[in-house]
Amino acid sequence: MRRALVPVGVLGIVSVAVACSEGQPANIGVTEPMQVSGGQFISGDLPGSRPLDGGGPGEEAGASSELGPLTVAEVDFNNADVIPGASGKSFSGRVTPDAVAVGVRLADLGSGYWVVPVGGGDGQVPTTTDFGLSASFDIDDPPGPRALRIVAIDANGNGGTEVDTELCLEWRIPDNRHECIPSNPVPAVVISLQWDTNFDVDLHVITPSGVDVNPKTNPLLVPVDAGEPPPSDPKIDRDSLGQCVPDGWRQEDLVFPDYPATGAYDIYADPFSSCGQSAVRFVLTIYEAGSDGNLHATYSQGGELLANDQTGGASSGLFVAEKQFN
Amino acid sequence: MRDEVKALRADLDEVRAAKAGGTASPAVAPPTPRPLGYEAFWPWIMPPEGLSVSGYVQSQYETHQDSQDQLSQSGTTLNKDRFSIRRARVGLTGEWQYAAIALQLDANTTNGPQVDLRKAEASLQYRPDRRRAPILMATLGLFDAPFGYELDEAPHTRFFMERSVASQAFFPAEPDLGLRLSGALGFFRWTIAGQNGEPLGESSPFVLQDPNSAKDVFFRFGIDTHPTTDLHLAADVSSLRGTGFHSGTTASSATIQWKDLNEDGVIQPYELVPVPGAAATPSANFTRWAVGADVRLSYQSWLGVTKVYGEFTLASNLDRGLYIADPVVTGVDQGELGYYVGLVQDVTRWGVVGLRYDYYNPNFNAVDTRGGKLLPFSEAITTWSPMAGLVLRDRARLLVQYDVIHNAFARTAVGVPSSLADNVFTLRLQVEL
Repeated sequence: MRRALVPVGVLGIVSVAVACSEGQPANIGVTEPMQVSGGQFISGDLPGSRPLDGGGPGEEAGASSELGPLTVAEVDFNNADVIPGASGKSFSGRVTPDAVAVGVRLADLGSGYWVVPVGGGDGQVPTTTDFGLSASFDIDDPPGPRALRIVAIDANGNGGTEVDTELCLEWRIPDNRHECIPSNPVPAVVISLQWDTNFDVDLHVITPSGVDVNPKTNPLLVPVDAGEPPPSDPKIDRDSLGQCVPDGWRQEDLVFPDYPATGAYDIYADPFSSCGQSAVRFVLTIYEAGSDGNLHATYSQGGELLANDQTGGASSGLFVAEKQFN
Repeated sequence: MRDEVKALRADLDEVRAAKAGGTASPAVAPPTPRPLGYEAFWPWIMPPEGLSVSGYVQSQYETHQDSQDQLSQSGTTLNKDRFSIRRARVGLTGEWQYAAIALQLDANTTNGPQVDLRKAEASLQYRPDRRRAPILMATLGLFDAPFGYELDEAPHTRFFMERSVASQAFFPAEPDLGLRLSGALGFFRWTIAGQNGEPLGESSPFVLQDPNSAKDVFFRFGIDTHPTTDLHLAADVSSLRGTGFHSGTTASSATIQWKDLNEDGVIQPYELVPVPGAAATPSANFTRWAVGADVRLSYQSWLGVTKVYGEFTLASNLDRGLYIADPVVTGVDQGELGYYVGLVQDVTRWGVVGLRYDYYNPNFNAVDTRGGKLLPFSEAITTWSPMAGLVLRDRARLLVQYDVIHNAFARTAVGVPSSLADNVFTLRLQVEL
């Protein structure tokens, strides 16, 4: 019997020895501020040298048509604004032919970078090859201006000079892009309801005049006869989980561009439909413009709703708070 | 040897009892002696006469390097570090002069709690020598596909945790419905079978059904012999020719699609794209085939039995579990190659060690796009599986196995395909009835 324990011990030793085997780990990248479809996540800093002053594509070579080794010659995208939690945002560009891959990351955010192999030769600019990638962003990425940093990588893993492309990561609280453009004024008040599961919860705000503002039937505080409401009119920004279709937001906001009319506003969380969930936890937060020109949370209240509480729109749901505006 | 002596003594006791005017035969027949290398290997098992019940439980803990505390896109768990019931099986076997029956139920928690029918074999047989396999046997029902050794090896006799990667890709689970003819004459073994071709475990809505009228046909021929009393040798060649099924599509109605071209999250008129309704497309069949060979050798020494065995399979469009083949979509036949070699060594009556290496290339024509060029690359998966355990013969096993896996699921820092770390450690306790 004792001899029979020997193989178990041998296997234990072998197992420890091979535990440090090769291979890229699988459980990384999912919590990064940016994910690249089909890309490989590598921990650590990008290879190559830091961006030059100015930092943009092709800066190293200036206006010259002569490109240095491992150069990112061009970065193209449709919109520099990144909607919170955006998925499938496309970036493309050109690198010199000595590159076999590009590395990409958000500057100063996250714990590593993503590697994407470059594509084929560029038909219009034969001295370069193309690359393209599709990126998704975490809805809780810190808002504000942020550089998308890209570097060309050769077959030996050497990187060229990194280039920066300025993006604007928008805040999930609608602030009129104030985080990126400080000259844009923030709304006077934002009443924001967020929740944690794919449960169709609706924000209801009953105004002093008795109007029930909610995303299902009446998203506008001031009804309009036809056309678009004036930008200064308060409104709810979306019907999140409407018809139980997951949208990644799980958030609804009533935005007051100007300070609300005086009076008491009753705020409800309506469990319209459970969408198959057993329960949902929510947080109501009220943001108000401060004297520094930024939005600040002035009130917060959490709560929980159960599937049995769903209303189907028959009522305004659970009363959460009364907010007095003077 | 002990078993043979035991059986001979039982025979002698029976003869003495008959001479003394006792009962003609005991109520329960003595167990048939099992020669070296014998395994519960269908259809060559030799069950006791009459009805018998069998069963076993394999419960285990496993941990995977690629486990994640996340869900997949389809909502299934990506965490693989867990306790589970891998197999809990009960079987009923009936063995009579010209007929036989085999029923087996399996319960497991591999993908949540589930119960499956694993065997439902109704057989007619000609087995004049009750100590030998039938000369001719015709089986209709649910039985393991007769291709190669591993597929028909009973999971409770296999020391390694699972079949090789190639075998699991070709046959996600062993049983399928069909007709099997088989026979054993001396050392010669033969099997000819036809099955639906939609085995259990397949990633298809047609599991254990059949969306086309064509059947998968199997031929398997081989030998099973004892050149000396302490040496067992068995070898087979197998072939399969079958018909796969590509599902057509139903008609769709016209829709409007929004493509957020400027990525501002707001619908612009030019971002709305009409998608016309599409007509249904018909389903289509495609051909698949496989050829294979296997050999196993068992040698009895002072240390115990040494078993060396191996198998290779060359196939086309047969992958139904891992890199699922559908040449109707790709327009190219998917060539596949798998093989393994294994060694299992008894260490006295109480212990066992083993090592298996298996290789599976799911597509000879795999290419990777790099620098605008289509470069051939290998998607091959290789696995080294050292194994060890404690054994209470015919009653219990405590086994540990560490699978060192190399694949092409990840990329290096320069974008070249490389291995994703997904080594697996498994601790399993098996107890039999």
